Amino acid sequence: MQTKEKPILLWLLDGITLVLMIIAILVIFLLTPADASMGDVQKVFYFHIAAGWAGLVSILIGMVAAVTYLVKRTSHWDILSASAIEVGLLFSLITVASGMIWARPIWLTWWTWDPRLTTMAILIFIYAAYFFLRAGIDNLAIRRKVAAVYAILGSLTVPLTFFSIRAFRSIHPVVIGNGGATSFLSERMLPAFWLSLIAFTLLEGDLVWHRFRISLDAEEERKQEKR
Amino acid sequence: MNTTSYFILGYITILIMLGGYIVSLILRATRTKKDGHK
Repeated sequence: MQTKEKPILLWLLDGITLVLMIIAILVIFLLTPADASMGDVQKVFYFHIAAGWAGLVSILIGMVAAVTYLVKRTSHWDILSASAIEVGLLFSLITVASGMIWARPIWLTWWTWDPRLTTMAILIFIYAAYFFLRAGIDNLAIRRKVAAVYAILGSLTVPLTFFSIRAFRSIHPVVIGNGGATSFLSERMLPAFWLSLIAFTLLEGDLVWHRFRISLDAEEERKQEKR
Repeated sequence: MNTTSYFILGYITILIMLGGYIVSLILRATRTKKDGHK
């Protein structure tokens, strides 16, 4: 059971995120035109890009929290790091799943070893292993220290994934930079793009906050049991 | 399948993944933890 009252700000964030997600879905399904060459499947892009962005941001939050843990050695930072990485892993999986569904009719394959897809797969494997690592170390102090170092090293995959399509020859479209979303989305498509991006960024913050509170409660219970 | 079917499949997949995680958070929040934070 949750021991502390849920903050009003979190209630507010829950509400705003839910409303924005519903609006984003309605705009994508009802108002946004189909792409002239790709057809309706192009609409997968709105949530695909937003999830990719939210995933990378979440993993970077996990890295910053891991660095802070190593400096301050307070359990809160370790809990925040693990929470953010868990949510980051979820969004990264959503990015890959939605990308595969888009790729099937457009590239005529579910998967190809393109630099962006390969670096994203590496990122997912590395952060899946992060949780195996945590679960495998019983000593709490050692677990936290090792997990923090691993999270920091693992975060190197974030710039690797982000810049892979710029540094290597890739068939994956460049969305951020190079003219950005405005270069391949028409004016009627842009509201859906920005709405999705904002909704997913808020959703990411919301989920990390909830996950953080759950782990914090578990930590409190563990401490109370020890007393 | 036409591109509309892949579009629908994409969004169903995303919403199931998000929904599944949110349900798991709700279940974890209502459960008393014995094994601490891992």
